[in-house]
Amino acid sequence: MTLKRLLLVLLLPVLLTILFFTSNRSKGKTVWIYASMYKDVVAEFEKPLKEAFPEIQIRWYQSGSENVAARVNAELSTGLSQADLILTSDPFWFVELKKGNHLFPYVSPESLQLDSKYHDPEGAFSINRLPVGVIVYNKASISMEQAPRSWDDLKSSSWRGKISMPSPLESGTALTFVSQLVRKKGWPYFEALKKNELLSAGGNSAVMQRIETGEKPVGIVLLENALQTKKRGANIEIVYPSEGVIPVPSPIAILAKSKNIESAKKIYDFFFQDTAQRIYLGANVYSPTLKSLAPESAKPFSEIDKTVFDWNAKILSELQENKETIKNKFTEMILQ
Amino acid sequence: MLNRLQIKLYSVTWILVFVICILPLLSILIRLVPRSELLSLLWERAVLKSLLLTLQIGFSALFLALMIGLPVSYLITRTNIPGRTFFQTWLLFPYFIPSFLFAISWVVLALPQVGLLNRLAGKDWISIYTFEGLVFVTCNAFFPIIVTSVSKGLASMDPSLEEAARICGGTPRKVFFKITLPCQIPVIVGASILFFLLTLSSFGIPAILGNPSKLFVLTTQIYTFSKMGGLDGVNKGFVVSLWLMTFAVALTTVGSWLNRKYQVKLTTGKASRPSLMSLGKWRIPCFVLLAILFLLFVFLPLGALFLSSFLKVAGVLQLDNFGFHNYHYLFQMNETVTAFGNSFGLAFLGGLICCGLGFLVSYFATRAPGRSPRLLENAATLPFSMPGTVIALALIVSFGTGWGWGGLSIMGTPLLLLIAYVSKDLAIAVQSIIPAMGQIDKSLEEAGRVSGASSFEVTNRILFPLVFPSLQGVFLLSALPMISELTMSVLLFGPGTETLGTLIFQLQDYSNPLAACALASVVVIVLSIGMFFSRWLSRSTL
Repeated sequence: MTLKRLLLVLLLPVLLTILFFTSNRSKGKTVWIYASMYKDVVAEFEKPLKEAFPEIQIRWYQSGSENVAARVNAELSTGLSQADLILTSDPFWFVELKKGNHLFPYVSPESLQLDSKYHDPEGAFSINRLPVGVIVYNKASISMEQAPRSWDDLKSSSWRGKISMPSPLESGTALTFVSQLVRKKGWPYFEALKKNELLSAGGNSAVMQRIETGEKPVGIVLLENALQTKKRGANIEIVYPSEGVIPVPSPIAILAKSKNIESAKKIYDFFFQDTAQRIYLGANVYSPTLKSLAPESAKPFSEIDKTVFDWNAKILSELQENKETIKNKFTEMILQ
Repeated sequence: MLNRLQIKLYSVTWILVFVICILPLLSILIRLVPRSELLSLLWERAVLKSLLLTLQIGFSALFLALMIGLPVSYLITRTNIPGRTFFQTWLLFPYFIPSFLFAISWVVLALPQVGLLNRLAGKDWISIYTFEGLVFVTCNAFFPIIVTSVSKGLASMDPSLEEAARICGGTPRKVFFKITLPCQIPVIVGASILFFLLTLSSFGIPAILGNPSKLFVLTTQIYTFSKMGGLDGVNKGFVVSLWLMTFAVALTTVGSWLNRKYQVKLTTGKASRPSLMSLGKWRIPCFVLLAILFLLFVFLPLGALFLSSFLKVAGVLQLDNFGFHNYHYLFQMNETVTAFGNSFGLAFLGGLICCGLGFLVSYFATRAPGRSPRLLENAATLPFSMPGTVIALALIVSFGTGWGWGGLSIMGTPLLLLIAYVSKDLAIAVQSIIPAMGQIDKSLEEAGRVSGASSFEVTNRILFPLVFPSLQGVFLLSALPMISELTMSVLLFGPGTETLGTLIFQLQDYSNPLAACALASVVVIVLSIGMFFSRWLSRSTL
């Protein structure tokens, strides 16, 4: 095989492959949405969005909160992000973006029924969906009578070596869990969990898998993961702790340098309309506007709302300021 | 000396390597200059601790891999062991499977208490969440790189050297230790360096196994910084990755120095295939040994993966819990087909580019005078040792937004992924082609030159055909990892450019871990078909 012959042989397949890649690129007025949502949820949004805005081409980057944040941060560090709209479940990141003047202040007329505590006071972002953190256990390993009923129950020594939660170093929701538990119960709570050999690693689905397999039969985890796993037929049970569930308010915002602010606003509005909110409910996430409804086989929001951990803009900014301290202290206490 | 055509090509090679491998990292470095206060991060206790751990893991895994890899390479290339071709194929197989899949399947197998192996034994006897477990799985995923390189070296060695020694009365053992082994030292060193760099920059395994056992290595630290460190996270992550860069540069420099010092011209014109050594009464024990390795490194992990792909609920091994629904779920998704097309297209182009650019780099690294070719080699191998997360962030910073002109942005296009893959895997090509080229004595080319051929003709008709067989291997070595690349793709992909890696990751991480096992199984099957096909192809052209 000489070089010339090889080049000739390869010419055709190379051209075909390049053709394959260039053929499915499209042009037009586009709005980029960066979202931390499940794949199938994004798929659900695609059709109604297309119907509502045929003139706008909507493109998605869909990944975990951390990936979305890392990508937007990297893009912003060059001065310009491709994203127009961002939706993730890490409220702290939005506060940080707001402080850096990266967000375009906008209050949607569609979000008027939203509790004022879910609006940023300056309108930089609003809470668009409301995942919550609960306790989940494996019914094969733990009987209904033994099962924990409250966050404080997890302190009991009978759970030694059996509890896991996602790691605040790897998952944004876990950081929300930790900071809100610390705010409500103080560090002694985690001292007690440390005595119980709390395992804190991975994201929510890693915790869910540990519960499912019985490796760590009790876990602090997002309700949506639990509902989904349960639907698959796993032998697990969900506990809504008596002190309340942990809210993980998930904001939506428009980036200040978006080249398409007007289109972005329209889509922003759409995410507060009932169609969009119902898609969230179908995806096992609570809607902050349709309060009478709940994801299938979950407790109604109105009931959860009575005990849910406190949340408002002040708490958010206070937690955000202490973010690093909380992370470091948790690392020292649990992860070393 | 280089003639004019060669000088032109040399400049083009430099430009390409610079843009693909150096520019992205440079653009972050420049960003760091006004932020020198961040450099103190390098000496923070947690960072130093993870540096130490990274090195410990790297050396332990390398030691284990050499203990296993060297005898295996010899057995499968130079002896009459039964099932030689079977082992040649299957013991190399783990290399083509993304390393994080091994972590996933060993978690299924050896979790404390509930792992399959612990359940089958009825007691809690192994745990994967330990230092030893981490070393073992790292070795499992990467040891084929040692076997591939060393067995290639053994196979291409001129047997007349050994025959001469034997004619002079050397016992087989003496011949092995005085001739065969010393001749292979450059190859072994090169392979060890590759292996070490792979473990340094590996992310999937320490992320899945290390974090639960509180073992944090450099790459997981960098990940934490860049994902959770807020707006400044990219810079922080990059600072920590300076450690990895240092080691990469140091190791490749040492490697190429050793290579130059101990280089042996093994292919000189006439070559014949080395004769196979008869193992005699050791035939069966050796066979059993390889069979055990096969069971441990290939059959068990892949078996666990396949088994989980048929489960409805994780961890429940009852008959009514088995079925095809994960596969059903998989193939009703549009993305599955897109991902297959993208991954294979990218891997095909990426592999070709790696081969071509790798050939050029190696050509000049072995043939051009002065210091600059060595620099070129270092530049081309630098990104390999960088964690994928850092490369991806660097690419976003340098290419993603088109230097301020939106129109130039290649964000979310396959091109960005292609650049990322080539930048990461170019080192594999260079590291494998340089020894192959170094082994070809200049006398062959000089003969062509003396006979009146131009330098292009010499390359076309002498050098290239001699290197071509190893180029086929290089293509597979660099292209197959791209098929399921994860760490970079996850940050760089956009709508329509999903790859198999990102799809597996999303399934594993968010929606359906068991469907991830199913997709991984399909990928494994496709890869094995590809591998057999390429073997068949290369055999029929020989």
